[in-house]
Amino acid sequence: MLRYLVRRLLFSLLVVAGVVTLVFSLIHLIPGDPTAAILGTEATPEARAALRKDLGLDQPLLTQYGRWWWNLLHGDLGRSILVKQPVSELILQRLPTTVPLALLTITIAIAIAIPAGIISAIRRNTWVDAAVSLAAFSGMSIPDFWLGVLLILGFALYIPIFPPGDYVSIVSNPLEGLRHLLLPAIALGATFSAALTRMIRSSLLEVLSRDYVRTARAKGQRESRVLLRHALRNALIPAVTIMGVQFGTLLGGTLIIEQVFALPGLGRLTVQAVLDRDFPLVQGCVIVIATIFVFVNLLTDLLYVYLDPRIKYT
Amino acid sequence: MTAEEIHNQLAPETQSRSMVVETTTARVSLWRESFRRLRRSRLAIVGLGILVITITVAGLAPWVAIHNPRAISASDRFASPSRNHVMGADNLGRDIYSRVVYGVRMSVIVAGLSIGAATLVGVFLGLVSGYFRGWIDEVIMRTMDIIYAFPALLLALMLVATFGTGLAGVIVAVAIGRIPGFARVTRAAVLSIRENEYLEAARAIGQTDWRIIRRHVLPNALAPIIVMISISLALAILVEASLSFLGLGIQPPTPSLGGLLKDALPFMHQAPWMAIFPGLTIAAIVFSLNVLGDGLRDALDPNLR
Repeated sequence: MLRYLVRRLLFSLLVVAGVVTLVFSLIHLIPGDPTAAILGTEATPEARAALRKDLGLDQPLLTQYGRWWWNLLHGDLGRSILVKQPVSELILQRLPTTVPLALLTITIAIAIAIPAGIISAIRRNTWVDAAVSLAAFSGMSIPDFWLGVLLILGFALYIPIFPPGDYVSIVSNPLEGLRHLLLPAIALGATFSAALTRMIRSSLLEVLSRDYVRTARAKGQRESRVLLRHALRNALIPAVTIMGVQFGTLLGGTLIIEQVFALPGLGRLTVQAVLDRDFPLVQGCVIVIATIFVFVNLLTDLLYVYLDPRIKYT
Repeated sequence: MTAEEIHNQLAPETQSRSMVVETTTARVSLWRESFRRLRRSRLAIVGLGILVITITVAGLAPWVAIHNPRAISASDRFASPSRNHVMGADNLGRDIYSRVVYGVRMSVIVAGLSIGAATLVGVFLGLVSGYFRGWIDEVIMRTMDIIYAFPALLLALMLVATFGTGLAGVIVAVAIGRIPGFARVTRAAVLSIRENEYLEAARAIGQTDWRIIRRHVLPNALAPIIVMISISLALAILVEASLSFLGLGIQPPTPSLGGLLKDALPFMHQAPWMAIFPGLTIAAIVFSLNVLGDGLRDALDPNLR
């Protein structure tokens, strides 16, 4: 187990190194002069030269790459061209919005997916199963930003239960902050819960056909006990893998949902940086989000190995 | 004489060729059987139907659209759905139905071109990686792992930031994001095929590696690739719509489904139809591709043969 842990950690670090290298190379892949692309064609030669010096583009490529890594390892993600603030500071300011949103989304998704997956499995081939499957397919098909728009229309404008704007941080006011995050979390959680529902259903069906479940029934145990004590526990293990994969979709979704609901999170910061062609900020945000994704996947892989003692990794 | 006895009396080269003919005949029957299984799934057939309608609408857009999608009309501003504007009109009096039709065309073009490119590159990389193995397999798969480390929309954002917005930028961004999926799926299929006896026979009669890949490996690896195409087309449409919604995809005045939703945001209370119909269209197309992909996965499942 320890050898697997070390190998998996090294692999994740290698992937992160690859991610960082790819993000570093982006600015060099911009067609033409990157400073012209960032500042616009009307920028003066002096302004472009100053930016080139600021971004280190006047140095040899290897020096730039070395300095890039040196700065990264010291927590320096550069400075935003537009707001002139350190990128790491800007990102840290936005995390208290994005992290609670992600956690609330996962909670809502699990709260929907587990009962839906169970009902669908135990009522297999009935109208209940068909309805849940249809809902799951629909959840995976509906764009989260459109669902967000519909939720705003329905529950913030026509039936004003939730606030349509004026974000309140969950840190400063937990209850009010939760009200502001609920609709975005539901919009984001639809795809997440849909994929999870299908996984739980298929996994539970497979577990319910196993011999040990048949034995438990033969011993006269109540169906609810068979389901909750024997089947569900094992059926949820593969769902852990799906959660890791879907977390990437969730992170991508925050980019767009924060725009729809005007939330001052990391996703909105990233999109604005792209729109403003603020390259250091784009690079910083991308590295942080991709690194989070890599380590969440590492955690889910390790959790999977921990939960299922049958898995042996050499 | 049995078929086996006849086969054993043939010269070795003819035996191999007859194995290929048998394999080809068996392959055609498998496809027929798979299609028959697909037809039994009602949801998959519904999905296929919606897809056919989508492609037809995209192809015949100039004839299907009632109005010019860019024509502005001050008198029709925020017109609700009616006979003249079946899906209503937007803040500039433009017909939403016509804009949706041309938006569907743009989505089909982006999805088709990007996934076409991703399939060609990804399948090639997967074939090379899975067939030749060794250091080339490691280099290709580690590169795919790095690309896969980025959430799809984040990667697309990063690429449009680098290469620019508009049709070409979106196609490149979507295509690059889907290449690892095709490479992995193809590689997995090739790994399960490469030790089969008919490949050994083909090598024994002196066929080159590329001929073997083209004639024997690729046709038998097609099933998971086809499923992947269906799923990837759905993702491509969602990513393109997302980019256009953020203002980083197809640029105005060219209509795009995501762009229509972006335009609808400030006027949701006044004209909810501006948001409802484009979103419904995206959902319907993606739904059709998802259920079709699911049906294809079941129909092409080798365990059901």
